[in-house]
Amino acid sequence: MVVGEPQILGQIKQAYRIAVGNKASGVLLNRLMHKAFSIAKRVRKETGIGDNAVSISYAAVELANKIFSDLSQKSVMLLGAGEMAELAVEHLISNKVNRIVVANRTFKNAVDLAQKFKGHPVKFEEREDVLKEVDIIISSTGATDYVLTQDQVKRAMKKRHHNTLFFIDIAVPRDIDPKINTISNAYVYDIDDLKNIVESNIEQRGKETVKAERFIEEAVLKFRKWLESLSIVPTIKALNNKMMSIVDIECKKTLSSLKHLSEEDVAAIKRMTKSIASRTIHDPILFLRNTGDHRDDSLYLNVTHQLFNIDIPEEE
Amino acid sequence: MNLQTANIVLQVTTVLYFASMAGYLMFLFNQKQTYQRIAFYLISSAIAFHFISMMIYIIVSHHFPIQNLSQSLSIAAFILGCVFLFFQFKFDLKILGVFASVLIASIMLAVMMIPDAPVEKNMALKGFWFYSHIILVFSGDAALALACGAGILYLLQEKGIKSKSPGFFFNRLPSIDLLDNVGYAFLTTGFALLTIGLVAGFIYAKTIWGRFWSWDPKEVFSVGTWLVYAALLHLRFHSGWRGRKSAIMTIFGFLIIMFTFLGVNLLLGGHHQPFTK
Repeated sequence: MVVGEPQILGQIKQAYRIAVGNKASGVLLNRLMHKAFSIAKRVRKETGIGDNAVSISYAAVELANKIFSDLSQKSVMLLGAGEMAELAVEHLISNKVNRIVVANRTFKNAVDLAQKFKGHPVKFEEREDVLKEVDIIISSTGATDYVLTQDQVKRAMKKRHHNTLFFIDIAVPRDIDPKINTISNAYVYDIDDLKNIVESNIEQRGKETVKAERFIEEAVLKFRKWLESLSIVPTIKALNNKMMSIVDIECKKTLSSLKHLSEEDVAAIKRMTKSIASRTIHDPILFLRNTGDHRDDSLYLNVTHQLFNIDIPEEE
Repeated sequence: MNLQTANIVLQVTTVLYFASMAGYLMFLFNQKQTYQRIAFYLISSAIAFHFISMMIYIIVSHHFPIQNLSQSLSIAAFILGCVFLFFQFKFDLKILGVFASVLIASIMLAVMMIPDAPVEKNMALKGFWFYSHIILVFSGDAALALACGAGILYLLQEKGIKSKSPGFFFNRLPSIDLLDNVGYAFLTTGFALLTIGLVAGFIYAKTIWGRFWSWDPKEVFSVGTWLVYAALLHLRFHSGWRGRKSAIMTIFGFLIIMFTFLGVNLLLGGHHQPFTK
């Protein structure tokens, strides 16, 4: 697993959606997930953690996007039908390229792979001619010698009016002559070049991780405070305080206009209102103390908070 | 209203251009869209103020503000701003604002620094062909300046990709393909405007001096510049001079324009000289 991959967040979101759909998530999980998602969004927005590609095939796609303005207009040629080629192409296909051509020494394999990607198979010997009409070449043959040489590409360049060519060489040993990179408007990246980029991106990501971790710690502290407030004792205390403050306010209001009462009367009235208040909340408190739900009281506590509109002051 | 008012408005304009440049530079480093948006509003308002300043000048003095070097440069900055705005809507290449705003701000700095030479009213400097000549040539030069900007951005991005070490500019600049296309669009637009502008100049010369061509140094250099760009476009069509070579040529071409615009007047004289004293 790599830190900061967007797919992971997507998977968690999907899992949570399923849980909600089956009514399997409670107050705690809901709040936790929502906070987590908003922190993820903040990290993505305020740190550079998602800026650079950290996998080889994604790095290749990112490079292609910095070479060509619109990949949907560009065509790809696959040289060789290896597994790596398939991986790289899958990413390019998700970026929707225009056309895919597959060339392989064993023509049958070319046909099979072409069928899989809705591409066109060509004979391996035709590869130089095809250079005229494709823009990206992904090579992964098992050949011991270069399958495309500088001269071949130079000739092809003239035929294609020097329009840009991008070679991705994922074969070991190399398929594409590295000298092709010296031809203008031709760019050659082999597997080591891509690995280097990915490594430096991962290093960069490490620096951004520190910042992201700070955001997360902050959120965890806040969440913990909320969680603690959601235990029984503070809830009962808050409930009591709320009732007593209502009693105080109402007594003051009424008694201030009843000047003829003696001090004992005033005291008796105060006592009575207070006991009405505590009796009113007596049963709810008893219920909260023993909800019968041994696993999770958070639902009832949360409902209580909402019913009585009580806020437990967060200690800052 | 008097010339003093026009001058004060022009100073406000310059401050706005500089603020816009600061905004674009912050956008370059921080990549926050907000900076880019603010910078864009600043440059738009600067251009509006610039226009107001010129209008006041024209109303008060009854002539076009192109009588001396300071005024010519100011017009050049204004037209560069307008051309930039136009293409911004067309291409949405925001990062080019960094180049445009820096260039405009430096021109305006020069405008502010150069002492205003006393303006002698030259009755020859008016009429349809004169204004067409000025506006077309300046717009053409502005488009070619932006072509140079796109060329510089192209070379920065291309170098990173070719040398396999994507650095500071990799994420900040668009694809080299796009930069090449935008540069090409600037190039063709600029070349077309320059061509018509030069023709208008010849016709104007005919109406004033009775001949199309008088071997004035600026005329010679302008046609020279025109030939350089004509060659560049020809090579692009027929020999595939796209990408890096084309970018280097556009930068080179713009250097020649700068010399034609300033150097010829300052060093060689000729009948274009009075505007640039």
